[in-house]
Amino acid sequence: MLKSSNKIIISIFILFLLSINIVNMYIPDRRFSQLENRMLAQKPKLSIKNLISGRFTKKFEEYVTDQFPFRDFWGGIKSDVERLTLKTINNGIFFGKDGYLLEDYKKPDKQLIENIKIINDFANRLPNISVHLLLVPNSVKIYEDKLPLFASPYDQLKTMEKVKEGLNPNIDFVDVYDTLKNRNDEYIYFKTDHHWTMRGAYYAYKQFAETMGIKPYDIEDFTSQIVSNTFYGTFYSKANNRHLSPDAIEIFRPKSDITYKIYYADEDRYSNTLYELRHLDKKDKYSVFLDGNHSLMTIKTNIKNNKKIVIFKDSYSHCFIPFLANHYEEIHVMDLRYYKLDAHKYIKEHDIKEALFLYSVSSFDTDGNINLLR
Amino acid sequence: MKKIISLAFVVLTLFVFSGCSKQEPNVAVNDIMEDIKNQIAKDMKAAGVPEDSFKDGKLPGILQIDFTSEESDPMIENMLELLNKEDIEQGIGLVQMMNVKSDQIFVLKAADESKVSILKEALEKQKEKQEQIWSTYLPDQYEKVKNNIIKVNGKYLIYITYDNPEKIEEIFDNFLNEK
Repeated sequence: MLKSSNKIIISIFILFLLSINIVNMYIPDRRFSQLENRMLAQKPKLSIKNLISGRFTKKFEEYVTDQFPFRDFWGGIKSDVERLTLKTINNGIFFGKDGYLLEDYKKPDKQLIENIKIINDFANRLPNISVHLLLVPNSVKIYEDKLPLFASPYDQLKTMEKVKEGLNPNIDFVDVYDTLKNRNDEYIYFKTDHHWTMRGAYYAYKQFAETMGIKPYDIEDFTSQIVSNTFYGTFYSKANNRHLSPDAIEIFRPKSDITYKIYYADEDRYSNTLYELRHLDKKDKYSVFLDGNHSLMTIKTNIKNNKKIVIFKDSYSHCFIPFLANHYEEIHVMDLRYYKLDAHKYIKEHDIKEALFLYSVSSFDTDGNINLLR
Repeated sequence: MKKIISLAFVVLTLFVFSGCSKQEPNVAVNDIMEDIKNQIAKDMKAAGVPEDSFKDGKLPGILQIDFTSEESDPMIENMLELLNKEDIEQGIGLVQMMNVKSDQIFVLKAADESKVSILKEALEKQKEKQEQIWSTYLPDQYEKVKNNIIKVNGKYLIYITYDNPEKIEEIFDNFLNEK
């Protein structure tokens, strides 16, 4: 005979199983998870072919996992448990001190050597063009004192040393490590995102301008404005650590009246602002700077000094370029991850005499798209 | 009577056997690609791309690359890094010229059976590369990369990163199974 306490346990158990299933059937499917910043799996189509190939079963499993009722709530519990068990890393993201999330950095492979070689070849093929490389260290290096105990990412300074040594002398390597390191008491990197802040970019701009013989603007020459206080970046989505405060996004506008005309070539669209504020309502708020990634954009200003520069870049450049735009008549920004046409031809056609490669260390040594410049 | 029946059996068996011996399909990669392009054009038009942007059979914004081309083009080397020209008999790719979209389709025909696994590796490497580009940017484009299909059929290989990869896969299957 069953004891009545057993009966209660059994019925609670059955009720639990059933209720989850019933709820699962009735709550509508979600397409996108704001918290995780990814598309959620949708119900797969059933066909004999899909069933035989095993694709249906695999997709269906993903669908059930992604659309599980109160998914975010369970995710939160997991995050809490991990915090209580003093977990310090998740998905390659360290949980640093003072709310810093820092991405693990691995020793670079042969792609780094390859990329150095390509930039050397590029400079050799275009002897009339002055070539600069600005490598921005990632937050994991600048804020290494915030790393949890026993975390030992590879030293980014070693990577930068290697690049410096490998580059031909005709290429100007702009080393902003000390500049940023000395300012790391300021808000120069996001805590929950993989980018630097516009303030961080300002200090790099200042140094870069000086090496170029341009007189940089003082930080007081700009009006600063906090446009968002609720930015949760890519590290936050990856790390699944819910107990962190959001980042703020600060933008700088010059006090002098400079006008910009931006052309997004991939979308054949014009804009007159470097900051697309509509992105502030979305998940990816960093896209406020130059509208996120575009394969090719040109910025024309009312500064008639006939200076033109081409920038090969990753998204670190997006909050750097607005400073540089105050010194050039034309800036051509190319993202080799998406631009698959002939860049050499483009440079010739537009009669460009200066080139800047601007990458963060972690993307420079893994990006396999720079070889398009060969 | 017996003879007739046995003769009928022999004939039948022959038919059955000839049905079994699978003929090595011999289809031009270009023909497969033409059908795929028609499908893409149809999808693009359905999505609202105006009719007049499809001139002389070209898809707007999409670059067609021929992997057997003699010229050395960094674009071709960049696309499938591990690909050696000697390993393929034919190979065509469709990639985005400059749109920030992840769609990519490659159809390859191996020079001989032994090269198939090498080519498959090259395609898998390409998928890794796409993963790297898209995993931190534009979740909807990354979704396509995650749903990517790499398929081998005899000497033919296909790589599909597309909104609806099954549709393209079906074209590939139909071509190779019918003929």
